[in-house]
Amino acid sequence: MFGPVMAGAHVRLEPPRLEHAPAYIRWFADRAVTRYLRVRHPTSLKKQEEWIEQMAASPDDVLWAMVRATDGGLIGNVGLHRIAQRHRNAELGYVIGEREQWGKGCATEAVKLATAYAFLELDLEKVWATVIVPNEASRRALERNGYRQCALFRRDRYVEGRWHDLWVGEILREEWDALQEKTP
Amino acid sequence: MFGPVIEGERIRLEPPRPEHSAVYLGWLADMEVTRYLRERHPPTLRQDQVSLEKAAEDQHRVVWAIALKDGGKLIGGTLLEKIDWRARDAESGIMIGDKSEWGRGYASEVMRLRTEYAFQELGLRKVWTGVSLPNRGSRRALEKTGYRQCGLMRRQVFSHGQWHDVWLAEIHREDWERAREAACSAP
Repeated sequence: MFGPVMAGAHVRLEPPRLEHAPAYIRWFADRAVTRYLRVRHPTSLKKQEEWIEQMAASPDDVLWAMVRATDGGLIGNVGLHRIAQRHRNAELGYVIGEREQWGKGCATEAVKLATAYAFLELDLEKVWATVIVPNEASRRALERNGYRQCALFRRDRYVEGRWHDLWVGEILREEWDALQEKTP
Repeated sequence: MFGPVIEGERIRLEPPRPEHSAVYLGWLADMEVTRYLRERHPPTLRQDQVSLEKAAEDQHRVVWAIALKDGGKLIGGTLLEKIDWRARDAESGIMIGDKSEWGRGYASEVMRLRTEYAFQELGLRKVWTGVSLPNRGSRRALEKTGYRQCGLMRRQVFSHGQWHDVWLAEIHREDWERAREAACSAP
């Protein structure tokens, strides 16, 4: 599935388009962008477009394009993946592909919007996400939105000549509800 | 890929065969057997054979049938899946489908053989798994094998009217080697 439009202060989430494929290829060819991602290789234009089509058709994924609120420029994507219909949980993932947009809080806002959608619209029980430990910016984006560590896999990912641990964080619906009451 | 024959003291891991499918279907139809499994519905015979063919080709999975050494009775299945050849790790799974064989320690023996194969033959660095918290038998067998907790996913699965936490554990090759050396050099 593609996610519907959701507007934040700095970023807007909206349905991805096939024309985004070349930007994805450029991001995945940039090792600084993929440093802490699972996928570290670009693919062909055809394969990239097929992947976007697959996401649209999949009942177990919700994918959004992340664009600048000011001018609609594409800066990344965010998605809820591996949606377990029966166990009512999903994995949250995101990438800010445009490096000049790093450090501006875009991920924090995207996490906030996608997490709210998971609880308010999909009626999930929890959302979880993984972060390779040195990727502090990504972990902070999750922690600012109430995600808490629930696992640490030791020496899980090999990046730039070293093994790194994998941090896993999660937020339960009741924890998210409590946060909404605190910050109306 | 199908796993090769590996013999333990009481059990034998062997490549799955098409005639096992009918038995598997019976196990997957039994909610007591599947209570703590990811897969909780029986497929058709044809679907099961298609997935067996897929498993045979899949380079990121090694699948075995579990049989009793004495008499050769099929009692379950085990696998290493999501094999990441770059990170050199995999997720492990097991099902003892034959309920009359529960509680005899067969799972521990399977895990010991499977772990040795993962490290010695596949050259993996670590193997990890997740177990529904109330599934004490499986957790104990994993701990006996040397798996150690690395996380707890709260309210991760719903079965039998309730939410259950999932216990996450992993076993690292270096820890496994150290434990093995200690066991060998013990008087």
